[in-house]
Amino acid sequence: MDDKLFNELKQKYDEVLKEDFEKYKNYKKVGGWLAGLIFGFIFTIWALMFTGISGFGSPLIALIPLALIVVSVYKLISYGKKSKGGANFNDKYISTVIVDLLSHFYSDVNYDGNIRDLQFRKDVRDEYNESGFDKSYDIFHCYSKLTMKYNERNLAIYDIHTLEESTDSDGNTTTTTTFKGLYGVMNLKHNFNAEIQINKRGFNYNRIDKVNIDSVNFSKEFKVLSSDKVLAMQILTHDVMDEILDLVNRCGKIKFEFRIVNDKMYFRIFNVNTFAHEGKELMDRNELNNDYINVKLFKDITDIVEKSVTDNNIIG
Amino acid sequence: MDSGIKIIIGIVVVILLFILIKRNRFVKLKNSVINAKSSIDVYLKQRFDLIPNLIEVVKGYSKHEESLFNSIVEARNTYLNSMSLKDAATTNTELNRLIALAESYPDLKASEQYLNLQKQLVKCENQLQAARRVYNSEVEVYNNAIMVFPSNILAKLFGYSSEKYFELTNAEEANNVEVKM
Repeated sequence: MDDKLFNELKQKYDEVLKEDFEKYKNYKKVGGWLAGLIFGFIFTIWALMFTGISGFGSPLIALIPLALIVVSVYKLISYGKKSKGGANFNDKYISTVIVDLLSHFYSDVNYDGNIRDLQFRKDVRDEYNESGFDKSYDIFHCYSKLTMKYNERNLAIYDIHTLEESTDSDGNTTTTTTFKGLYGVMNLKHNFNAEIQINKRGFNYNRIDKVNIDSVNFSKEFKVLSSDKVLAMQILTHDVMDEILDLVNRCGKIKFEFRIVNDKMYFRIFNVNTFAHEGKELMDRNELNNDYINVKLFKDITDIVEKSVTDNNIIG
Repeated sequence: MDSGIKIIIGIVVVILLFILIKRNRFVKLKNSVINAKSSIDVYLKQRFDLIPNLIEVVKGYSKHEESLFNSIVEARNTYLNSMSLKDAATTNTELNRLIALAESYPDLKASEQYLNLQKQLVKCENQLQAARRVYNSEVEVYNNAIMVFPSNILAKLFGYSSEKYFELTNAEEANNVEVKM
């Protein structure tokens, strides 16, 4: 992300969001002191029970967690007042800063912050399932959805976190993340009438055939599957594979995969933070730079594929 | 049952399973090669099906190339009868000579009919190139599977032999004339 873009965003939003950011910081602190209060209660009761039952030590040991309770209550009251409205900061941040960032690559950018609505969440889950990327999850979270257009085609980007639950023989349930990152769906100019998957390396069961790619470097990063091997090879020329690998390297070895299913392209970018604000400063350069790389990736991959289709006269 | 016999039976079962799994893998890989080869045949046939139209268009501008027209038709017919890659390479060489001839007539190059044919030829060539890459990749995987030890022993036993890569067979084809749009 160049300095010009960062400074432009900083100039636009530093003052506008300053107050909301302060409330948000206080809101996060409230969470921390709430945890302190709860632990204080637990440890107080434990300390009293321990000394009472065991007869070991003095009940005065409970003074330590009691002190934590007192400090927590004081902090909660003090930050509580200053945090009013802080819970909505991320909605404001995404609908201003992130939407503005996306508008440098896409048009008609809209933030749909209605992720608290149950029907909306169900619809988003169905949209995610459409890709067939992830079949084994049990828990689904969507933190944000943004819609936009790229060259007159619809693109939607979602912040997704899916988890799988497993129960062992003792009845203990553990959850494992199956996917955390950005998921995108783009309508393509052409209908390929085929499915081509460019997956990151690793085990994944699929019903379509593996394509043995004649590039060692590309095969190290990706596994290609397709219902039409010749079409996959037409798109993935050596130049195209080099461009994709170059993109991976420029984006700091980012892990992503994408698939073309008829007239849609589905993407997933792994292990990236959500669009929600997580930095220490309001306009955090690192955080915005990562968001910049991630949002640009959808456009870059689409451009590479569509250029290949045109250059190689694949359709039409 | 004596534990020694059980062990022997266990080893025999494992060996039989290994043989079964390997044999099935050879079958699948061989079928992939056959499938890939048939894709090449399809695209070659598509490319060569353009020859009659190309001859008609070129004839309109150059009536004195009968020997070339005859030789390309003969090569195409030979290929359609044999479907061998060697005959395909010969037909391809003749086709490239025809294209080179067409390129030498500016009026022909600019004609709409020729431009349409060129577009189709380019599309066919791209498909053919992709089909060749698929075929060569399948051959590589298949050849590796039947040549590594100890699979090579089983492959020999079941009569599997290595396949040849799809290669151009003469220098003329290697210097394939560029079909410019």
